[in-house]
Amino acid sequence: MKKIRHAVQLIFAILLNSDFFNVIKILISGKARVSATVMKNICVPGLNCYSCPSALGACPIGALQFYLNDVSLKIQLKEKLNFAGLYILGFFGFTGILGGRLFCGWVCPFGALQELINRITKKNVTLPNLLEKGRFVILAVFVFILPLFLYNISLLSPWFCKLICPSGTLLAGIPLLLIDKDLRSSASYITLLKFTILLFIIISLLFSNRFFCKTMCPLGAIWGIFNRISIFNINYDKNICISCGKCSNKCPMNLDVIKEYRSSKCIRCLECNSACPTSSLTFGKYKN
Amino acid sequence: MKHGIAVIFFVLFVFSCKSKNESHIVTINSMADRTFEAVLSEYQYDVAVINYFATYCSPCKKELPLMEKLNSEFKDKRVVFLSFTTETEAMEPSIRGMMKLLGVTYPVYYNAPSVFFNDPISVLPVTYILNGNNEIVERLVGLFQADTLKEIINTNRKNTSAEVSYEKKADNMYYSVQAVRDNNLVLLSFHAKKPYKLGGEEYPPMEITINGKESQKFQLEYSKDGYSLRLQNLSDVKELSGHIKAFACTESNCFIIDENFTVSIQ
Repeated sequence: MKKIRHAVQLIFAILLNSDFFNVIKILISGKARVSATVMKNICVPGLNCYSCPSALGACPIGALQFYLNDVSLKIQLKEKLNFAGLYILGFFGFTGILGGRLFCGWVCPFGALQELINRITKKNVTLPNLLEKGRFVILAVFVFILPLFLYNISLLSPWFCKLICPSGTLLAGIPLLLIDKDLRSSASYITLLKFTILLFIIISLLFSNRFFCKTMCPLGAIWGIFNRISIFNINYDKNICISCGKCSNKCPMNLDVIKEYRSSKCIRCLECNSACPTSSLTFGKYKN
Repeated sequence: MKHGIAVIFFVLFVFSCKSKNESHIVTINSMADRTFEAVLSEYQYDVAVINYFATYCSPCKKELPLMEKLNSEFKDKRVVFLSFTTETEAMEPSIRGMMKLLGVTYPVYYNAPSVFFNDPISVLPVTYILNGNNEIVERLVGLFQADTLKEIINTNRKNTSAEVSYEKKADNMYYSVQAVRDNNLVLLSFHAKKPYKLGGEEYPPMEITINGKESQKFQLEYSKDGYSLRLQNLSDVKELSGHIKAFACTESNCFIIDENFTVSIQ
């Protein structure tokens, strides 16, 4: 199962970042440029930065913040809201109801990268519950409240992308800064802050697998809400479980699987399913 | 929870009640398929300040009001301020709204190409300073300092205004000349016509030559009534003729006056 998942992660990482033409263009011109195909209007199910040179689609968290910025602007101007942007909320609803955090485990390229970094040490320390609630705070403050309620046009910004997102720093910030000298000259304290956050996350990943998913990811926080009710879900058959604990040992998210198999922390990587000797944990259509 | 939502909506309502400036006018145009040369040819300038922005770029939103401030400072001084964005029609309402909130009044263009005179735009904001020949004299990446930009504009203005235009305008476009007899004196005076100034202050003083048996060169001193000259021993002359050498300057440009004049004595 692990191999299949890694293959799927790799396929999606390539698929979602396959505008190689743009990469070549950037390398030749030495000028940063975001891929500009029609696909850019489409949200992808993963924290795959819009500004990554080869990214085909848009990160839904970035799109959501820009939509909220637009809503804020329209309210300030007393203009009609653009309801088409609500499709982003629909995207979260649709993908969430379908599989919850399934996309975190199988699609998200930044999740895959985190697993790769963690392979260096293979350590996986359980984090305090309070720290793991951090992702809801980040979702509320940086994705919803700041982009929507800062009543000053020069402050309208996708604040999560701007100040925190390590996926953006790693997938877009670093390559573009390396290529474009103009961009380097315009780097500011925000660049430094984001590099510090990225470094902090990379170091933390050496101690705890998927540290960012556990504590900070707003996209995971949204999908996590759907974990309890999603159509495709983890089902647990108490009657055949022998409580061997193999599932919990394998869980990258440090869950006590037989108690928390539908927890909002679960990324549906299905390691528990393959570890279970009695098939009491299965993935399929939601069963009570 | 319910109270929380109510409070959020209330806050939103209070914020949305800020009064708007209804008199705000900004021209927002589409570049369509036009080139920069075509767009720039609509303006007359010695210095053009071209700024690239985007609705999603927050440093740009700090920069646009600075552009506007400089725009009003350099009004009628042959300096043109323009902002461009590569965003399309779909963003037009947002651009309009943004400009309204930021108080921008100078022209703004959307649908702009992502390459400005062979320079691909990769960083926002970016500001180009062009001289009258559409040559990029400076390129400021990122949020500019207003003082720096001002200095660049002023240096380039001086450079361009030094190349004084020699074009000849219709006679007496810049000044009027008058000669009045007062006993045995003749009072010759020159008055600048608006919006020109004749010599004086920061410009070289004007020189007058009066035709006669002995040609004489006079340097005229400036007074608030214009330039005047008292001439003696002209009791039998009905007409004065001579030559005028001077600068006629507006606030942004100077023209050379180097011509003969004739005036009848009243």
